[in-house]
Amino acid sequence: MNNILELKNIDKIYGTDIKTQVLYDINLSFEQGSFNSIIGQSGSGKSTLLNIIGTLDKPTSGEVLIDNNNVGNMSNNKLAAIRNRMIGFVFQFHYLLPEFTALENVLMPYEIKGGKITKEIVKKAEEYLSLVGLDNVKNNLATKMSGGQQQRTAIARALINEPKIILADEPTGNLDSDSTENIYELLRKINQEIGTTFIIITHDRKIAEKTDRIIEIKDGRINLDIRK
Amino acid sequence: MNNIYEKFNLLLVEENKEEATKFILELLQNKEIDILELYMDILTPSLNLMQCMEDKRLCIWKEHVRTAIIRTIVECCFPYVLKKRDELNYSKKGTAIVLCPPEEYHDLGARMVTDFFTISGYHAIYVGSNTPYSDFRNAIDIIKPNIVAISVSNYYNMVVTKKVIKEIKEVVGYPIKIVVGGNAFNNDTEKYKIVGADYYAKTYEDIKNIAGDEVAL
Repeated sequence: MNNILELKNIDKIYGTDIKTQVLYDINLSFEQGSFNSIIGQSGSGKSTLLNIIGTLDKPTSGEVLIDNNNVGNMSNNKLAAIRNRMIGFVFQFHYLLPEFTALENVLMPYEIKGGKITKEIVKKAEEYLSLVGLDNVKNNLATKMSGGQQQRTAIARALINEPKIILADEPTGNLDSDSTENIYELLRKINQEIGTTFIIITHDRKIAEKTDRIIEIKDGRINLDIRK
Repeated sequence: MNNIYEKFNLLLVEENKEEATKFILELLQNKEIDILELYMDILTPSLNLMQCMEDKRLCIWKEHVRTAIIRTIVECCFPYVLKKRDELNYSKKGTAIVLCPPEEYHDLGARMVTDFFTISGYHAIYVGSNTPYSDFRNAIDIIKPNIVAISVSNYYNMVVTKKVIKEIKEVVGYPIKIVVGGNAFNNDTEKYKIVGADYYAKTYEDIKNIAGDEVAL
């Protein structure tokens, strides 16, 4: 399998007068279609790492290669374009827009990308909503759905631009154990059916133990990198 | 041996605990099978090669029932373990403690490995599943074992295993050896190095070799 994502010698230092280093010489690569988790205690540097992977933050030194493109030298516009095309985000809190329906929320990243809303793209959005099991509530406002349904809508939204990578930051952190299991099953189904690469930050051992690779970050370094 | 395995497995499929236990104990009593052969060639594959052929919703149930039957047999075998130890009469070694890390509940492999340590000449202490982290450390301070064997099935538990091994090696002031085994390590025998262990063990021969190494040290 090809590497869809590579991190080479990543350091991250915050501050100028008082410097705090949060990542030390991180080297990682992720195969296309793989299903990975990143674990670590609060403050270990895992969210900083995810932000760098997602091009939401820049490393102090080192290289990030997405699909063999070094994103370090890209302009902000080009970076935004590659982010929108290549990466889908799922967060602990769904950040759905409350005045829009599930379907409209799913279509949002496509519209932001500049896409015209055609019958085809609506059909695709409906298919993703169906994939996440939300046929019946697709026209409900985001506020008229349960927590699990809102998170599933957020997952469908992450899929609409057909990203090669989904970055999920504590996707089940706000859910009960039944909904957690459903969300895991859903992420795995997407991974298997569409071949999307998953990188999931999680505190939840029930999620991490089911992924195919666990990376533990400790004090800004890779403490453990194991495959099932 | 194939005949014995097949007959025993039929009894396991039927979940016939009484007949399965009788069958194995008679074989041992009549010296038709050796305790080491029983563990390696019959019980271990019966646990590891189980296939869930019927209703998939009952797989875990069936795995647990099978494990419970084999656990009964293993406990019944202890006199034969002692007999084997006396027969082989290996030199007396130190203490080996065998346990599973916190949240690890698959412990029958660890239980069987404890008997391998006994046969190899160790005073072997089986602690069991889900051993709390603090007890882990405190027991080592008190018992001062030569070997700590940690059994890990769920690969997520390699995370805590690495942490525990690091701490043991930092705190203990004598040359303790750490052995790891279990399903989490079976697909790559070099994985033991990742968690900082000294040895990986899967079979009686592995334990015997480790015992040999320890004596040589």
